[in-house]
Amino acid sequence: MRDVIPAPVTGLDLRREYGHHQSPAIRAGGLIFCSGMVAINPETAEREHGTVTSEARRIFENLKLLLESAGSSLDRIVQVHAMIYDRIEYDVLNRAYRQYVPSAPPARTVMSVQVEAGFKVMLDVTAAAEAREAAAMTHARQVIDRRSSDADGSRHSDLPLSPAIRAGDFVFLSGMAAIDPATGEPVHGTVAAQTGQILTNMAELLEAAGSSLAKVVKVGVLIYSMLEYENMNSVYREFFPVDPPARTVCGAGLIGGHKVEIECVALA
Amino acid sequence: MIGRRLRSVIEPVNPKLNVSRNANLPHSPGIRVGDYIFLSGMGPVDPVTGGRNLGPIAEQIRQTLCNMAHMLESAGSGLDRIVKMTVVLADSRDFDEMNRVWREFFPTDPPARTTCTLQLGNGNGVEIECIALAGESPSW
Repeated sequence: MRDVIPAPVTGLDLRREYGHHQSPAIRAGGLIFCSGMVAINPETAEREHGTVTSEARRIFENLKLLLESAGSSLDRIVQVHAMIYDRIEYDVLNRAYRQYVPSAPPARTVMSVQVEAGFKVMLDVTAAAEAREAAAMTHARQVIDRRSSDADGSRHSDLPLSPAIRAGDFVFLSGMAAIDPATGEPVHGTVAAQTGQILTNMAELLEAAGSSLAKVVKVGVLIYSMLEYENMNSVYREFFPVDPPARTVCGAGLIGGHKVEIECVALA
Repeated sequence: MIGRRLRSVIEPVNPKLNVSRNANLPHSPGIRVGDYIFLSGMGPVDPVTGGRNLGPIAEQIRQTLCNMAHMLESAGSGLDRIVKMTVVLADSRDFDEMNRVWREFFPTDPPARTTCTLQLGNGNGVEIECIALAGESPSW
């Protein structure tokens, strides 16, 4: 079953207002997949270009309307792709962001990209669907935090994200950079070295969630330059020797001077 | 549901579109699991030659969506079962053109979608990935 979630208020119907040929959200298989959201006034449909803070607030208010109209809510978000126009505003984004997901925040990956129509922020959200589907889902939404090390660096940095969120049959991991699990400090090195460190840490985190690299379904790789694509691949293939996951690789501005960042969805 | 917990690789019927195999890349064209199919990011590959179709952006997008339809149909799904798409453009000025092509391919109830502009490989003007619902009765 694939249900279109209509715009809860007319201003959020970007298809009608701006000809963006997309549905606001689709519910399928226990999850709600939202279209990328930017700062739109829900009554007038006007674009509210502003600061990272004002745009992030507006997006979260609109997300609240959209998710609640579909029987879900902000606290059921499992994964966010946060896109900002310039990584220099990362801390500003975090400050606004954490107000809306104060506890058990979603898995998250932040990337610096060119956002549509000159906006500064866009949030791409996946949430667990409403409670009545929970009977079929043994784990409606659960934060994975059982870790033997600080491989994801999140305890160190107090970021508004959970390393991993389980929803239904899936585990969603936040974007991981190369972190030394012993110290929690970033590992600076070649693309190959960073890729190896990330996938080692990812294996550990997945195992803490009862999953493994062999159960990974989809991987997203962000790399600072597509010229380094093969350097990433050469290490990557060692970790997925047979039947590798589906994958998308893009060149993007990464946070914190990292060269590679990797996120994934795995079977729980 | 039998096989709900299975994770299986899906591949296009047309071997020319099996980019990961042909270029020996460490990813699968798609993975089916439970109710869903997750496809890898796809670019404008010519289904006859297996080479890149780097024509005008509308043509690249049409080509990519045709290939995506083929990939999904190879696994018993289809464009009308897509749930969520992520579109990466190399040039943000192609946004309107992308929407124009989208209307041809998704006349009613289009999927949820996120678009952004990023650096792409192989000179592609567009790369598209999707999550779709698997078919009702898979052939395996």
